[in-house]
Amino acid sequence: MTLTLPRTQQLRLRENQLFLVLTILVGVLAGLAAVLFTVAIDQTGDRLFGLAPSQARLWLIPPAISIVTGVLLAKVFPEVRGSGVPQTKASYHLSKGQIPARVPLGKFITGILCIGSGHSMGREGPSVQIGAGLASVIGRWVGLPVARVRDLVPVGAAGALAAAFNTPVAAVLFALEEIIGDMNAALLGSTVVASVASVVVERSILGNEPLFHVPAYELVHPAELGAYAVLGVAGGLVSVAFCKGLLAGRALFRRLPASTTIWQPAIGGIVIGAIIARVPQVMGVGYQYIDQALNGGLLLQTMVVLCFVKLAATVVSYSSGNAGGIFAPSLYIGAMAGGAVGAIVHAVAPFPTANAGAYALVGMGALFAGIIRAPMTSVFMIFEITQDYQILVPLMVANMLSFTISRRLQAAPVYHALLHQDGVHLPAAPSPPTMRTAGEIMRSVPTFLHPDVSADTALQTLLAQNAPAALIGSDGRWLGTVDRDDLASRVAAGETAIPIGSLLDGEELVHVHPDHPLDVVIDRFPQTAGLLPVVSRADARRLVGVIALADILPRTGDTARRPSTETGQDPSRGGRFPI
Amino acid sequence: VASHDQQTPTDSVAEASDIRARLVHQETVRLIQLGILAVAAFFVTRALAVTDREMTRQSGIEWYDRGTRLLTAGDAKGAADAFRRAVVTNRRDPRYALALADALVRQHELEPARAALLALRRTMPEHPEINLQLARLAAARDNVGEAISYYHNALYAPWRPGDESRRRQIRLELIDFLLDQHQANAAISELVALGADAPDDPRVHIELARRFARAGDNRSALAWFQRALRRTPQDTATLMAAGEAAFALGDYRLAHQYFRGMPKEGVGTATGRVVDLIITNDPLAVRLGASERRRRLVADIAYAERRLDECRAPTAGSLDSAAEDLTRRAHLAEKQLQSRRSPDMDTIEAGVALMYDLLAAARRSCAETPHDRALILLAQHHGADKR
Repeated sequence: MTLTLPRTQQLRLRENQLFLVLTILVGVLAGLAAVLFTVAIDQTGDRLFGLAPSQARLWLIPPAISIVTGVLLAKVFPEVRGSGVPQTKASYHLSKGQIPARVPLGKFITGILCIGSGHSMGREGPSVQIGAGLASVIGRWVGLPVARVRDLVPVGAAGALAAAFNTPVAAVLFALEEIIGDMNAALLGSTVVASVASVVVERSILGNEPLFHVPAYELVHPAELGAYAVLGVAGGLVSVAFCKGLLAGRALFRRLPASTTIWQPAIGGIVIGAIIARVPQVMGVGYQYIDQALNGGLLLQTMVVLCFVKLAATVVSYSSGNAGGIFAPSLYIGAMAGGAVGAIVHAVAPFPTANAGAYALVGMGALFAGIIRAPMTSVFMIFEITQDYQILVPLMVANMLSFTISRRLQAAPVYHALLHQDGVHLPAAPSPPTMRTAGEIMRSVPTFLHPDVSADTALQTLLAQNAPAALIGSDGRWLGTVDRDDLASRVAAGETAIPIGSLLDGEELVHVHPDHPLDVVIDRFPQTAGLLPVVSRADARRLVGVIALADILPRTGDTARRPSTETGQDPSRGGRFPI
Repeated sequence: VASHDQQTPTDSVAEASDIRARLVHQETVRLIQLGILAVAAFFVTRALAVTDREMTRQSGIEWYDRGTRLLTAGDAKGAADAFRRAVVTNRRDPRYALALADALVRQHELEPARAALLALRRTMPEHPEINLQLARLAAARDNVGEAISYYHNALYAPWRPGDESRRRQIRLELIDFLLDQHQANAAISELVALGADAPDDPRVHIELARRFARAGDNRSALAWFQRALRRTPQDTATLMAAGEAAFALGDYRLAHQYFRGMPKEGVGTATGRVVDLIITNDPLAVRLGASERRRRLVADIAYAERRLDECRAPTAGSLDSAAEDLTRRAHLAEKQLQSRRSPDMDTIEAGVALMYDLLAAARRSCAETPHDRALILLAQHHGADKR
C-alpha cells in the first residue's frame, strides 16, 4: 500500500527538504567566505605593511586606502559601512531578509581594504553581513518563498560567525540572541546545522587551532570572586565609555556636510595613521595581542595604554564610516582592561589569585556582554575558547555586572543605537497581544506643509482645519512638527513671512511606530503639540499615520482592549481634523 | 485566452504537472550548481589558506632572525617585540618562545617571560629547555619550590642520546641553586645521583668534589678529589682542594701530604701554614719520642701562656680570677714537665687541655693567629675541648 500525502503537505515537505539542503550549503559557503575574508585581510595587511613598516607607511597607508574605500562606500556600496550586524538585523526584521547581492560583495572588498590597511576594526561583524547576504542571495536565486529567504539570513550569519571565530555554539547563540532577538526561535536547528557545516569546512582548511591559546584558568580562592566583580564593574564602565564614544563620534561625523561623506573614511584614516605610528599594536584585528594578554604576557602599563588607545582608535575608525566590526575590538579592549585589573589584583590582593591572563579572559567576556549586550553568547564564547568550565562562575559574575551597568547607563544596545542614528528603529520586545497598537488607532497622514510656507499661511491653514499642529515635510519625508500656539505667537509678533521650516529646532522628534502598544502612545502623547506622528521603523522620516487625542480617548475607557473583530486602522477616519 | 478557455480539466492538470516538474528541475539544477560552486570555492580557499600559512611561517622566520640580530646588538626591547611576532606566527616552534623569554629576561620582565614559556609548555610539557628556562625564572623570582620542580622536569625530560653533558650541566646548575638556598641535603642527594653516572673525567670529578665540599660533605669531596688526583696527581688546584677537604675532616696528616705535594708557590696558603703548625706542634702525634712529646707540650703551653698574657695586657689591673688560675696552672704544669723526662699520656693530654683552655681564654680578647688556630685545632682533634 502506498501512502500518498495531500498536495499541500507534499509541497511543504519538499520546501523543508530544500531548506535543509540550502542550510547546509549556506553554512558551507558562509564558512568559506569567512575563511577567505580572514585570509584576504591577513594578506592585505602583510602586503601593505610588510614585516617592519616604516613610520611613513604607518602614517600614509590608512588614509591612502581610506580614500579608495571612501569612494566605494559613498558611491558603490553605501549599505556596507560599519559593522554589518545592525544592517543584518535590520534586513531580518524590516526588509524580510532581502539583501542585495552587492552588499556581501561590497562588504568583502571594503572590509579587506579597511581592516587590512590598519583600521582598528574587527572581521566578525563584516563576516556576519557577508554570510547573511550570501544566504539571502542564494535563497532568492533558488526561488524560496520570501519568508524562507528571511529565515536563511540568521542561518548565513551563524555560519559565517562560526567560521570567523571558530566558536560554533556561540555563533548559534549570537544569531538567536542578537540577529533574531529570540532565544526560542524556531530556527535553532537550522542555525546549528549551518554552524556545524561552516566549522567543519573552516577546520578542514585552517586546522583545529583555537583562536586563542589559553591556559586552564580557575578560581584560585573564593575571595577572588570579589575581584572578578570589580572587573565586572570596570568592564561595564568601559563598555559604556566605548558605546557612548562610538555614538558621539558617529554623531559628530554625521553632522558634517553631506558632501564630505566621501572623505570621512580618509579623515579617520589620517587619525588612525597617526595612532598606529605610535602604537602599532592597535592595528587591525589585533588578536595576537589578545593572545599575549590571555597568557599574562603583557605588563600592566602596556595593557592600560592598549585598552584606551584601542578604544579611541576603534571609535575613530568606526565613526568615520569605514567598514569593519566592533566585535573584535570589544574583545581586545576587554582583554586589556581585564588583564590590567588582574595585574593590580595579583599585586595587592591579600589572598592567592589567578594570573592576570585569567582576568583578561573574563574581561573579554565582560566587555562583550557590556557592549554587544549578548550575555549568553559571551559566556559560551569564552567557554568555547577555553574548553574549560572552571572559569565560568567568575565569568558569569563579571558578565552580569557589566551587562547590568551597561544597560543602566546606556539604555539602547549599541547596534540598536547605531541603527537609530540612521533613522532605522528596530522593534523591541513584542507587545502584549491584548493591547491595541498605534497602527490600529492611527489616522491617515494629513497633507504636509512645505518648509518654505510662511508662518501666516500655515497658521491660517491650521485654523481652517482646527488642527493643533502643522506637519512639515517635503518630497514625502517628514521634517518636523510646529505647534499651532507657537505659530500664532510668531505671527502676533510680526514674523508673518518667516518660513515655517526655520521654526524646526532639530531636536529628536517625538513619535511612535505602528507596532507600539497603546500605553507607549499614551506615554508619549503629552510630549507632543496634540499630534503624535506614527513613523516607519525602516525610515523614521516616513510618516505612516498620525494619532490625535480623539483617537486615544475612546479606547482608554474600554481598557484599550482590542475589538473582537480585528480590522486594524479605522477606515472611517480620514486625514482631516477637527479633533 | 481563447485557447485557455478551450482547455479541458485534463489539460490543466497536465500543465500544472509540467510547471511543477519544471520548477523541481530548476531547483535541482540550482542546488547542483551551488554544490559545484561550494566545492570549487573550498579548493580555492584552501589553496589560498595554504599560501597564507606559508607566508606566515616565512614571516615568523624573518621575525626570529631580526630578533636575534637585535638581541646581539643589545636591543633587548626590539628583540622581544620581534620574537613576540615570531611566536604569533608559529606557537609550536620552541625556538621563538625561548628566544622571547630570553629577551624579556634581559629586560627584567620576568612575569611576561614566564607567561611566554608557560604558553609554550602547554604544548610541550616535557621539553627540557623550556622547563630549564622556567626553572631559572622561578629561581630569579626566589620561588624555590617551583624552581626545583622545573629543574626536575628538565632533568627527567626525554633527552636525546648524546645530550648527557647538557643534562649534567643542568643538574650542576640545580645543585648550585640548592647550595645557594642552603639546602645542603637536597644538594647532596643530587650530587650522589650525578656521581652515579659521572664519566671518568677529572674535571667532572673536581666539579663534583667542590660541590660536595660546599654542601659540607667533606668525606665525599675528598673521595672525588682523590679520584681526580689519580688521573692528574700534580694538579695544584686539586691538591690544594684535597688538602682543604682533608683539613676540614681533621685529617691533618693527609692534608699536610697534599699541601706538601703542591709546587712551592702554593705551599704558603693560610690553611697550609696552619696544617704545618699542627703537624710540627702536636705532642700527641704518632711515632714521636718521649722527649719530643715533652718538648712540644712545654713549648705549646708556654706559647699559650704568653698569648694569654699578651691578650690580657690592655686590660691590666682588672685580672679576672679565671685567667689567674689558668696562669697558675700553666706554671705548675711547666714545672712538672721539666721535672719529668717522659711524661705519661694522661699528663700530656692534660697539658694539651690546659693549652686549649689558655688559648680559648686568650681568644676572647685577641684576634686569632695561625699559630693559635693550629694549636686550638690540634687540641680539639684530641678531644681537649670535650674534657
